[in-house]
Parts: sequence; C-alpha cells; structure tokens
Amino acid sequence: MGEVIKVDGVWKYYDGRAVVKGISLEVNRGDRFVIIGPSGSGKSTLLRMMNLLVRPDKGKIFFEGVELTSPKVNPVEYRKKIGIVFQHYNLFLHMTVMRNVMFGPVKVKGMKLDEARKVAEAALDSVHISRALWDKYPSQLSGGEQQRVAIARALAMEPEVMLFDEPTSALDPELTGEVLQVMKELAKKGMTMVVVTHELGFAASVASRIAFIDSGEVVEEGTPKEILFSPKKERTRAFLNRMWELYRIEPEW
Amino acid sequence: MATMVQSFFPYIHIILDALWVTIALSIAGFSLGFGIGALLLFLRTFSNRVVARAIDGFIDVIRGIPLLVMLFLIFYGFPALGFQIPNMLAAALGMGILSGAYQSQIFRSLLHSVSSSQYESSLAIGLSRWESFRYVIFPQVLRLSIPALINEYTILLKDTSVAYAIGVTEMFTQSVHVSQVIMSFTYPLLFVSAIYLTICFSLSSLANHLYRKLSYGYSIREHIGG
Ligand SMILES: Nc1ncnc2c1ncn2[C@@H]1O[C@H](COP(=O)(O)OP(=O)(O)OP(=O)(O)O)[C@@H](O)[C@H]1O
Ligand SMILES: [Mg+2]
Repeated sequence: MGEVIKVDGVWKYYDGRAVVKGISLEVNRGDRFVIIGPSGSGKSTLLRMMNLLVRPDKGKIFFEGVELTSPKVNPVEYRKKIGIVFQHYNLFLHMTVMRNVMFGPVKVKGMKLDEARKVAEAALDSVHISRALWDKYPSQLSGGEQQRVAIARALAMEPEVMLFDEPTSALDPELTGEVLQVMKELAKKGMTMVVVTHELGFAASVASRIAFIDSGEVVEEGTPKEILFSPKKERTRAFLNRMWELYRIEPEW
Repeated sequence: MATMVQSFFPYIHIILDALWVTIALSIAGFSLGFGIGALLLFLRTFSNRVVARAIDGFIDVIRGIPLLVMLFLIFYGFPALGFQIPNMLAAALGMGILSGAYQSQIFRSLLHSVSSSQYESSLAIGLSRWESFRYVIFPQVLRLSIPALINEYTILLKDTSVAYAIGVTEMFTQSVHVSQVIMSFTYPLLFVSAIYLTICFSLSSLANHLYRKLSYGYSIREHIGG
C-alpha cells in the first residue's frame, strides 16, 4: 500500500569500483525504514540516490510512482518533497536559524514571508528549538541544536518522506538523545522515514523495517525482530555482534 | 621654500575637485570588475571542463595585459573599429575588465573554503544549481572575500592615475597640471600621495579588521588558541 520510494536494481560506481551493487527496496507510506551496515558499505550513497543528489549509473529510482531517473524528469521538482538530514547538519552558515528554516518555503515554494515565518515557527517548535535561538547563527548552537534545526528546515518543506543519514553520529553522546527524541516524535506522527543509523536501540524501538547493507548489497531485510534478534545470515550476525559489543562495555568502577 | 608652498595653496581646490573623478572612476571600474568576476566564477563552476579551461585561459591572458596597454587598446582601438569612446568610459572599461580577472581569482580561491555540503543541502531542499549558487554559495564566498575585495579596491583607486595617459582629468592629472603652472612637482605630488595614502591606509585597516571577524567562528585561531 502507498509506495513512496522504490529503488530498483540500482548500481553506483566510483573510480571504476562498484559501491552500490544492484540494490532494490521499497519504502511504503508510514514506514520507518532503517538501514544499518558497516562503514563504507554504501549507505550514504544509497540514501543520496533516493533524492538523486547522487545519480545511479544503472537502475531506477521511483518517488510516488514517478521515475526520477528518467531523462524526462527534472529531479529538482521532486527534491522539495523529500527531506534529508545529513550527518554534519549542513545548515546555511550565513543565515540565522529562522532564515535557515524559512529559506526553502520562500525560495522554493514561493511562500510569502509572514506565511513562511509561521511555517518555520511551527517546525522549530516541533523540534523543541526555543525562541531564544531563532536569531542565532548555526556556529552559535550546539551540535544537537544544529541537527534539530536541520530537521526543522527539512520539515518546513512539508515533505512526503524524510531521509536521515547518521543524524547523531557526529554528536557527543549526551546530545544524541535530544535528536533521537525528535525523530521518535516524528515517527509517532506518522512520517515516512528512511534512517541510516548505528543506534540499534533506536532501530529496535522505532523501525518498521530494517535492511542490513554490506559491500553495496542488501544482505538481509526484515522486521526489527527478524534482523536484530534472529538474523539468518552470518554476515548480519557478525556485524550485530560487533555492534552489541559496543553497548556491553562495562564501566571500570 | 615657503613661497613655493604659498604658490601651491591657491591650486589645492583644483586637485580636490578632481578627487570625485578618481573615486567615481575607481568605483565604476570596481563594480564592472565585480560583475565580471562573479559571472566568470559562476560560468567556471558550472561548466564542463573545456569551457572551464577556456575561462582560465581568458583570465590568464587578461591578467597578462598591463593596465596602460589595456587603456590604450580600448581608447585607440575602439575608434579604429568605428566607435568613438569617451576617455572616462575607456578607463572604466579597461580597469573593470582587468579587475574582473583579478576578482574572479579572489572568488575562486575562496570558493574552496565554502564546503560542498552547503551546495548539497541547498540542492536537497529543491533549489536549482543557479539558485544554490545565487543564494547559498556566492553569499558565503562574498562574505569571505570582503577583505580581499577591499584591498583590490585600494589598488584600483591608485591605478586610476594611469588614466592620465588617455587624458582623464582625475586627481593625479590635475596635480600634474598644477605642477606645470607653479613650475614645481614637489608639493602637488606630495599632496596627492597623501590623499591616496590616507584613503588606502584607512581601507586596509578596515580590511584587516574584517579579515579577523568574517570566518563564521571557525577560524584557525580558535583551534590553535592564537
Ligand atoms: N563522491 C565520491 N567519490 C569517490 N568515492 C566515493 C564517493 N562517495 C563515496 N565514495 C566511496 O564509496 C564507498 C561507499 O561510501 P558511502 O559514503 O556510501 O558509505 P557509508 O556506508 O555511508 O559509510 P559511513 O558509515 O562511513 O558513512 C566508500 O568506499 C567511499 O569511499
Ligand atoms: Mg555515510
């Protein structure tokens, strides 16, 4: 029901080396699709192909049934419906928090300033960014605040789906919680999400589906229960063992 | 000695009156150069390798032309093609083209300081390549360029004196005329030098001050504790 993103046999090469090797997957409306996998396995590349920031060398990408990879389709028209949040926030450094969030609605959707401001205020409220920060510049904010503003910037475009590329992995541990909390709230509101993350706790509690990717291939895909607690493939098991290991470190006292 | 200074005083206003020509010419040349520089940066950034090479070649050629030669080329070259061109316009054009080549180099060197992820995130919210350049990349390049642009302007300000050669009555030309009347170059030239120096020194101080302020709080100083 309600397929939002479909990735169909997609390949990507860098310098003659395949980094994504024939991946296919479907994200349906309301899905919280979590992608896990080791560093360098092609997760970011896959995610960036979903809004055609990276163009696949082979295969097709569909958004709500429209083939974005078709030469007749201008992906710029569809990117505004696909929000993306990056590992390093990438807020516009020369704009205040408020202008960052208003920017898309004004420049891309042609919204009037006062209308855009209302949208931006609602978006900032939804990610719990207090009024006191609205006129600050990104460099004056903590990493967690910047990432929440980045989420608000994407939400202000009222996207059909939100892509997240390791949104917490550049953050100090005490700041990851506030970002994950905002993402959980989004999930509760029914937002369709694709999330690349190493946060297995988040994956276990929020994901509707999980795909494990290794060396550019989907090794295994299924429900959180299937993938996290009874993986069938040896590679999945080995990866998860390494990850759980990280959680098991005992304090020394 | 004293009599020579006294004989210069009545002519000071002639030189000062020409200051506005100097400033107008430098601003015209700078603005034209700014437009050309920004355009070259955009073309170079978003064109294929062949066009980018051609633009680089064009910039190198332009930068290799001395200002005086450039002014002669325009002032005496245009009439040969059948257009008369006023000397003030020829001077602004020549300075603008040369400055455009320099300003595009300034922009280009600072383009590297703007992270490509800024471009990626502006594409991601649905902007076209041109809009991303216009609203996100260029404003950041521009902000970082301000000190270098101020320095470029001070060079242009002094270079307006070359327009003497095609008869523009800017400040230096007038100081030469006054010198000829009072039959001494010393005080008129010291006087215009002082004016150039005062303007350039104030602007350079401003540039140095801004240089320290404009790096988005991500300056090396903070990391090395300088
Ligand atoms: N623009 C590029 N040019 C060349 N190689 C690239 C480029 N982008 C990615 N790669 C390479 O493709 C491979 C997959 O990269 P990708 O960033 O998709 O991995 P990832 O799974 O997101 O890794 P990480 O967990 O470290 O973020 C890596 O080997 C990377 O070096
Ligand atoms: Mg990545």
